[in-house]
Amino acid sequence: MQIVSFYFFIFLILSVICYYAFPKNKRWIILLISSLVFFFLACSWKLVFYLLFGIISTYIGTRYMHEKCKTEKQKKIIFLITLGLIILELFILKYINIFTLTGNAFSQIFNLNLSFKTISILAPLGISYYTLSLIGYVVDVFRGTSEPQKNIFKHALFVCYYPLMISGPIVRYNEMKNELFVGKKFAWDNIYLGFYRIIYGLMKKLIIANQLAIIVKTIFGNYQSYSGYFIIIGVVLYAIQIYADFSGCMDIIIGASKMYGVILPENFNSPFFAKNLSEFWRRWHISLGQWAKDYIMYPLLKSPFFQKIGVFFKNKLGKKLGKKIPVILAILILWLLIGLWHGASYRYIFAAGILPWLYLTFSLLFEDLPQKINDKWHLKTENFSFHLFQSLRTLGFMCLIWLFVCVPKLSESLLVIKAIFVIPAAGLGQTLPAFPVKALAISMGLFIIVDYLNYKGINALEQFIKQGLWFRWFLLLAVLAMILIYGVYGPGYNASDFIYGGF
Amino acid sequence: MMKNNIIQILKIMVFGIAFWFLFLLITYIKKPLNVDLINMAGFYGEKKNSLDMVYIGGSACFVYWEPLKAWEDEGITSYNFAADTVQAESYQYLIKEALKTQEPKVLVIDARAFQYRDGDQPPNEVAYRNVLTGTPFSWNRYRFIEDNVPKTLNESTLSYHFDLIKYHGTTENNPISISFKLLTGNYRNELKGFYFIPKVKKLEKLNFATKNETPVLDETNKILDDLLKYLKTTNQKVLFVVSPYMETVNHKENFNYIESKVTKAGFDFLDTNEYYDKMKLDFNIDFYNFNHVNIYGSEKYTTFLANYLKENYNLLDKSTDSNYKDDWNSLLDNWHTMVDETKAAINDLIESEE
Repeated sequence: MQIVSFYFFIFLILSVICYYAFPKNKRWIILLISSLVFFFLACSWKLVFYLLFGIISTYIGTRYMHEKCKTEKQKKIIFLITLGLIILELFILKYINIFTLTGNAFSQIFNLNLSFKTISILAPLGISYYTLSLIGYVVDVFRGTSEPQKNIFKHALFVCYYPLMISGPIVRYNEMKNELFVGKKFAWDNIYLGFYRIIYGLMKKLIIANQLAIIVKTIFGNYQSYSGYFIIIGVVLYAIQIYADFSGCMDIIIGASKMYGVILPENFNSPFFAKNLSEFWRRWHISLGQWAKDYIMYPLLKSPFFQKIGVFFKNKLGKKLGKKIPVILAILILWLLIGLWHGASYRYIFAAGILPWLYLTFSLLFEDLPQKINDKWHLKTENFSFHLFQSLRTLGFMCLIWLFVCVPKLSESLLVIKAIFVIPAAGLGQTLPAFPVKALAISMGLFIIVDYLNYKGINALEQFIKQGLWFRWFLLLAVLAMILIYGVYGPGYNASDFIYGGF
Repeated sequence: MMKNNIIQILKIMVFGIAFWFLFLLITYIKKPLNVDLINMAGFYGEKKNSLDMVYIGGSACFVYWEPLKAWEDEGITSYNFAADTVQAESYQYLIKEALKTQEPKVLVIDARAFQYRDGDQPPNEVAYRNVLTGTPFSWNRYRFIEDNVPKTLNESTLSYHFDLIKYHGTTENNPISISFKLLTGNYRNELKGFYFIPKVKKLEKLNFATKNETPVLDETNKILDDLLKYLKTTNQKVLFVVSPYMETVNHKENFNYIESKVTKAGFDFLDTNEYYDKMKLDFNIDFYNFNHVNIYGSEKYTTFLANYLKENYNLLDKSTDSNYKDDWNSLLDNWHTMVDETKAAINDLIESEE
């Protein structure tokens, strides 16, 4: 069962009815049952053992750590064992092949007759997301900022709450416990807001992302045949596609959760309006960025090793530059891990790891440069056109990153970049597939308006719910009609998986 | 609080109805406007209990039986409730649909579907969709899909229930006025389910005479058994017909077997291939391929079958009945024009071949 399917919406309606039909203090049980049913319908039942492993190991580990360990040393040992177990599970299910392939590559270089076999293991749905949430939970219990959950079924619900199993967001136990375990009071506004959000998400996914996917696939599925502006168009459309796809998925997830009254954290905050890359990453996949900062970046910077590096480089390079070196090293580790999280291949390590790190390092080392240029050229920066320029510049940098994601092989990405500077022989209309221009324009227009309002701090859906009934119904029916006619779904279409669902 | 909840539930219901109507309208806008849609949907546009005969089948029905000729010559009101490459398993559901609005004096069932199901036209997606495209949502339609699609085609049924899932990607749209009529069951098929094909093929008469019987395959046999069992519960007079085509000995052996079963069950069976001479079929000009007649052949077939029905099923001449006269006669001018045009096109083809 996919979340963009007829059966999912039937499942959601039935689950929401059961949730509110149950006594308030027992409503979390419905969420748990719904999550298990969803897991069984979306995955093979065999994969439930991986899920159970994560649930049981962290349940026992955190409780033991909190209740039985008398010394800090004991606590640390249990913490590391628990953490090790869940990381090991993720490693085996997702990353083992990158190491076997690397081993084989090196054995060829050194003429060793080693031939490690790659293993095909089916990973359960959402493992990359719930593993990070679990790591955060174990760390929080170790730090003492969270109490471990004593009820194993409630603990299981935190791990496998089904809207979070598809593509996150990555959540913290402290922010979720009141949402999940305290039965929410029924409110019509939650049902309506959830419903509107789902429709908006469907529009983004089925019309924008899926229609653009056809063009993007045409270009990058046969990238050797394209050059010049086709490559640029392809990567810009991919940028819009991936944003519409991921944020559309989030809208459906957050909307579905809202129907139960369970509020999930937002994962996007108008990233395409960001003025620079640092701001972009604060607005894109927010929960991953926050998680990485809290559980990788800050612990690294506070570690004795990094403190020593800081002192060492301050002595060697001076206070200003020396202070930046540990940060640069910490963000290198952080981005390498983020790259690896996106996919077990060097393509992702480079595109989603090293490249962003290079950008941020450059920004950090030359942080005064933009201000100096502005001052020297007397540029007016507090206006729309400059903001637009900054946003387009940021998008341009991101497109370069996404270009490496679009091309299947890292080694061939450079050839595609080279091809950008070759003028294409064919006309635009001759080589790109037909697409519904008006429907795409209307959907994207709506998308931009909602995102811009959001950027300005105005919640478009909350404004929408205040409008008159006829206006709301007209707009909703119009959007639904557009989805029914122009959405890409049904037989013959097998790309309905969300891009970020694969990470 | 209670009052507010009731208001909200009512609002949701009204919105749901509005959405459902929109969904159906879009479905009919996007469905291919082909012979299957207009034949099937047109049946629901017929006045209640107005038909003497309903002919159920596939192309072996809708290019053979001319309802307007039968009306003009014999005063018989009839309709071809037929879809291309119809499969025998569709029959029970089609009959149930037909009997929802009509009480015909005789049901005519094209028996060829029981033979070709085991041969050159086994069940397939298109055959099922042809039947479903013009059939409105109902429990009967639901059962047809659930009973057949997973078992025979091993496919998910969702896009069969909701055809829009299949057809929404088409670039062509049907006019809203036609879509609206199709949706509300007011679409009127002015040819009463007949379809013109302006083609011709010269054929040679085959000798298919045999008394042997060869059973159809087990699955088809079960479909036939189930259908006969169902028909017994309807108290309907039923005639199974094999329309003229290039029948072979092997086919005839199958039909002999089917005939035995049908007659044993108390229903009638007629292989019109045994009456080539009585029909005066001309194998040089009356067919358009091995399996179908053209307008010349259909005229002869309709005359023959209309007489047979009148003789055996007590069909009265309604041509002077004021309840039918004006309505049916108003369709004749257009009908004659189309017959003449089709014949002219066939004549041109014959001349050019000569």
